[in-house]
Amino acid sequence: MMRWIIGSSLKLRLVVVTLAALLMVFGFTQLRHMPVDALPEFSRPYVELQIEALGLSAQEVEALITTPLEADMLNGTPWAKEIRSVSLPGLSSITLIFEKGTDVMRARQMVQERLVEVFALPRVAKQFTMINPLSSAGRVMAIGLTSDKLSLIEMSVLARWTIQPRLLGVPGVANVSIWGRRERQLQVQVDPERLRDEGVTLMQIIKTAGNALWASPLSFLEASTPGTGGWVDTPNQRLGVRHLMPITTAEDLAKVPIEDASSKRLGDVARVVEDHQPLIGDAIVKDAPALMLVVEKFPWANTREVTREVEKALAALRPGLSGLEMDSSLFRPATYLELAFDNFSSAFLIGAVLMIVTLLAFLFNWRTALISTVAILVSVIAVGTVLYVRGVTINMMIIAGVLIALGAVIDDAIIDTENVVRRLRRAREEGSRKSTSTIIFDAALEMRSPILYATAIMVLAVVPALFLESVSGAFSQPLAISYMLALLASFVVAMTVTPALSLLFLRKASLQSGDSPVAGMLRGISSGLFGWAARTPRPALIAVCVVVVAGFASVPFLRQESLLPNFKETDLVVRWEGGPGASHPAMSRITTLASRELRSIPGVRNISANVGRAIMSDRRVNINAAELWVSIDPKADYDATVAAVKEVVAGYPGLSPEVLTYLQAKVREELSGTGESLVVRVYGEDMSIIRKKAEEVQKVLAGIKGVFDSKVQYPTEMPTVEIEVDLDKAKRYGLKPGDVRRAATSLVSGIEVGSLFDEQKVFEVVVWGAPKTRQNLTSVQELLIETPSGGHVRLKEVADVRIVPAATEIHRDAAARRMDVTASVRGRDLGSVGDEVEDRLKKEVEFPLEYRAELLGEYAERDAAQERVLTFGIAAAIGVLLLLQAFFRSWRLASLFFFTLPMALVGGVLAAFLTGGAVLSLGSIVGFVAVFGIAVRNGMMLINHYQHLEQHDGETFGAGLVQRGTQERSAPILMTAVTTTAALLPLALFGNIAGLEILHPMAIVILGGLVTTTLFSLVGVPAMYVLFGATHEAELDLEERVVRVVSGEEMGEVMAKA
Amino acid sequence: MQRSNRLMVVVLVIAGLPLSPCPRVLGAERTEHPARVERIEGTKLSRVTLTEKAIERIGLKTDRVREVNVSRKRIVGGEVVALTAASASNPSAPVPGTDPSKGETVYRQFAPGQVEASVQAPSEGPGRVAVRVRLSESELKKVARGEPVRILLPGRDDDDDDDDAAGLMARPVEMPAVGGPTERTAALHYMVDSPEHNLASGQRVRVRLALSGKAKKRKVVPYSALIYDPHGDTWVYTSPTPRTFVRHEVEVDYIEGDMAVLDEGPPTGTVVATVGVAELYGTEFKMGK
Repeated sequence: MMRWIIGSSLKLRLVVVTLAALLMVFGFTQLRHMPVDALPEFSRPYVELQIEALGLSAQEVEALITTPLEADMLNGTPWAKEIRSVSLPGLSSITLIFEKGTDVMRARQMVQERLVEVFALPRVAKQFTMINPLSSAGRVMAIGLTSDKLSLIEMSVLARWTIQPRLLGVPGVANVSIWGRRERQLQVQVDPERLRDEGVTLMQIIKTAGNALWASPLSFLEASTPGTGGWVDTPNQRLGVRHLMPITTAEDLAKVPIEDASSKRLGDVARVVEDHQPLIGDAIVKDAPALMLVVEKFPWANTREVTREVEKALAALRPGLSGLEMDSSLFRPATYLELAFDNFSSAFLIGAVLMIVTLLAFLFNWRTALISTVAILVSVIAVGTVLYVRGVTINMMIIAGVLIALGAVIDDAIIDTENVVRRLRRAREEGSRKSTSTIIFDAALEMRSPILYATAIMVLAVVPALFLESVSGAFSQPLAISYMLALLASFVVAMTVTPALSLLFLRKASLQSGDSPVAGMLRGISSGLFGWAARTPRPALIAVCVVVVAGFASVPFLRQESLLPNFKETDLVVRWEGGPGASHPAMSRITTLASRELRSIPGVRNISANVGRAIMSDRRVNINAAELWVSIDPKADYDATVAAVKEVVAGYPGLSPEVLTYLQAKVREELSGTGESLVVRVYGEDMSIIRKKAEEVQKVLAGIKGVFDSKVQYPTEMPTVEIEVDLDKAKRYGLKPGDVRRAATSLVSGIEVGSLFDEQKVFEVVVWGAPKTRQNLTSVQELLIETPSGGHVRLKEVADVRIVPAATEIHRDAAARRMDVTASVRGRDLGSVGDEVEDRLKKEVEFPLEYRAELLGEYAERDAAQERVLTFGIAAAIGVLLLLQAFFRSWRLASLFFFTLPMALVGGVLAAFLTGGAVLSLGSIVGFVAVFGIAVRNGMMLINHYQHLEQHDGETFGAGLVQRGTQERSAPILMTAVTTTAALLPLALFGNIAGLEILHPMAIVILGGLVTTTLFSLVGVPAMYVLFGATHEAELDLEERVVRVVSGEEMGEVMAKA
Repeated sequence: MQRSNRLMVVVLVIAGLPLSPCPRVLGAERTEHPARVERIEGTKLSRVTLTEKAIERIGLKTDRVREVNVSRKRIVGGEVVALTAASASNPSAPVPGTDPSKGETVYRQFAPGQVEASVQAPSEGPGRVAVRVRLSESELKKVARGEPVRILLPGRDDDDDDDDAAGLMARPVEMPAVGGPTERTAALHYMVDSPEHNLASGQRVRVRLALSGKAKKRKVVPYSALIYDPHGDTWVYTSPTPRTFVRHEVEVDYIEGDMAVLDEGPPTGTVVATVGVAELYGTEFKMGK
């Protein structure tokens, strides 16, 4: 197979070279525009529903909206793995998580079909949305709206009706949520005492206000059927009839006479004003309440492109929105991406230049240098093309994968060219009659066989990474796949492009054996080394083993950082929570204070904040949670600024702050719930019974060996006003509970009575209690309720108005209420602990009907996943060993090689110590993979060469053989090491800056590892072979030899010897 | 060993062996905690101690528990009635020493039985009018009888509701019940002081009257000093020393505007936190668990 490919490439060399040239052109022009993002998508497929019901308590949201939806409609959706929901005051958010690999569009269709029955819900919910599919790091931009001239309500109108629709039209934008939106409403604010004094009832006000308008949602009002204008037909013309609404302002509405009391007008008995709805959240920009638009993107959209388009849209809007300032730099991940892209572009370019220079310095022949360079470039471009064709967005993981393989790619290019040149030179010296083509063919083929094994081993080594789960898997899979692609590409290139180019360029060229001075110098040093190793193999091998042991011993001293990358994004998010039940004024106040202080930190460019939540946003929290967005100047000292921000934020008591970058926050959200090692979830309906059972479970857990810190996670409860009508007392006044509720809710929460249509916008008209009637507990207790007989009674006289503790965040899982009991496990493996927990729970805790406990599946899954990875890891290691044995044909050699390979990695450990503060991060680990690959290749090439010399060149086994063999292979080994070092040097020198967070530690480890790998190859392998490589000729398959002879390979040598 | 061998070994050892690990010592990550919470023995309360910087950061402000004269006002509806030919009684003179301009309500002693007279028509000027206020039984009990009221004219803004000096002054008079009040209401009458008024008989007006309080001087704290615990008990944070805060239970009678009138609370003059109470509560709640 390989022979055919190489042969055909030589024959069709012009075609091959043309294709390669085209590929390079394509690469330089098109691939530059490929979309680049920081991270791949890492969230599981999910669908989220959000239902808004402003003013409804969390308990009622759960009872009226969440539970019916979950139980009747969503439970049992195809491919759904989990149904989770949270019920907050005013919001029901239900998330369905689907099995890995589910097509999100299909899943959405399934959910949509089930929601057809939604109209059956009680009419309290206002907005029902299936949130658009969002990217894992969904937020693309935050735009702050401030104005000196416009009020917040006017800005909200512009945001809602002009800016938001325009931005939603930008391709790639999935959602635009408006924080701090104050909807323009006409409010009829009533004081029930004044109504009583005027002899007017609340219902009269509601009817008047509603019926004054064209359209009303209240079915008992006539306005709910507005009627149509119609037309008049004359004998000649048709004249349409249209009604124009005379009410546009509050003053107009105030003039409307009251139904059944037409001597009075609305404005006489109530205050009619323009105001806004109660706020579920707010935005703080420039240290004052303002609006913030948050733009989110689809999973397949590219951050930088969407950012550009949104900014273009804003620029188009600006001329028409004078007086409004739109600041799109509050949160802009594209800034970091642009910086990162710039940084690694320059690092690559410099590296490429250095690589070419080094090649020239070593090979000292522009033709061979050209061939090698082209081979390397074509391999990398080939990988890029494959990804381009598949429409993949390039991310840091993919780039890291390609760079890990860079060593192998360079190696492939160099060894082939070097071998060809060497063979050609020898042939010309010997005056051989073989055609150049045949020589090149032989040279290429000679290299391919060992490289095939080496590549197989390298691929096998990363296969376990494909089986990692969840977020780690989402990161490691692109890495592993692009690595394998790069290896495959360079292998194919070495079989096709390199031979073709060699034939074209080297046929007539004179190959002076002019050695470059650099090469000569290095060769001198190294020959001393391996000469010594070959002659005194035992001390050499012992030295190698000592180093290996020392390397293993130092590993525990390495600090392991999170295996998830830590990008130096220029946008930080500070998440904090006020005490339970903290109010809007309290959170606004403290967030504004913090915003002012943080702004004064040098290096901080801008501060903005979200408090609470917004409609259709990505935050499902109460008003007591806030996020501060800190935008760092790209030119400032990143680490110092971040440290200063953390210090300031930690100085605010009682707020439990977290300072993260946006990507970290999103990754943490995705992983939330999988942190504790042991979680037992108790499901049921009645919280007090669940609580009791959870406490029983906790006692059982506490008694199990190996389980520590078991505790029940009680839901946080906050003071809530509970109003319960006393039926007897209410009867005395002729009141029913519903009457009391409707009166109280209209006054405290407001009731929408109709809509106003103005300039193609729609506004609500609302009847609400005057602010002083709902300002404190006393005013609620003393709310005046009208009785059927025309009298009035205070609320506290017919109902019990009390404050009770109530949860304001109700989480449900699998369509049931739940409470968690968490614990950590130490000193015993999770598997046996888990089994014992399940056993004892079954025996010792009794659950009533509809209640149960489950050891959370995630723990078991994670355990199984880890086991799987371990199994594959061991299988891969065995596979590697087998491949080595098949290649070396000696168990002794194979196992020895296998166990001394770690010496190659030790240099990387040392380098990590010296520079990175002894930290083992994702970058370092992938660096080890790269070094491992190079060590394998070098070692296998060396040993293959020794065997080749012995079999074909008739050298006798001994130190001399080894010395000669190493001598002949030292050039390519050294060249690969030095060239790779040159290519990666900029990455190492630039430091841990934006864009290089993974690549820098990787480069450090590779550079350090290359030193020891080269030493290993030049010292360890020869020593090993001298000691253990003897007497394997007898193991050679006789058949194999015959085949070789017959194929003519050996003919020449045999004839020559004969 | 030959010299070249020694050299080799040295080279190898240096190149291969990692140096002893010197983990980079991280500088002290943070200075002091902004707050410290300690349980107070024998109680369920904790003492929260804040640093100076923390107090500055959260903008904490304090005030003292005061005792002020309060009277609750209520605005009810009233109807203008013409007076019959009977003389109005003379209310007693204002108590010397009290000054309405200082914001203190003028309290007037009204001995029971002192004013009882039938209403009579005034001898001079246009008809004096009175305002009849109908109230339910329970509300009647709350009114401070004998206190003057202010008549608010129609068409006035809501803001006037809180302005003690707006409207016309009127004093209580006795008038026979007219027109048979309904079972559950009785009526109070107030005669408008000033003869110059634009009130017509039958006109509906609004009357601001004073409710009777339990005691004249009441303990008050600002509304922003109150915090509710999950069970509805109310607390304030007293500050025994400038940087420490301890919760103290209070019983709230009612809240009006930005003032909370207490039935029970810390002694008058105690320093309580008035701004930043939410943060204190959050600190105690989170760190004292």
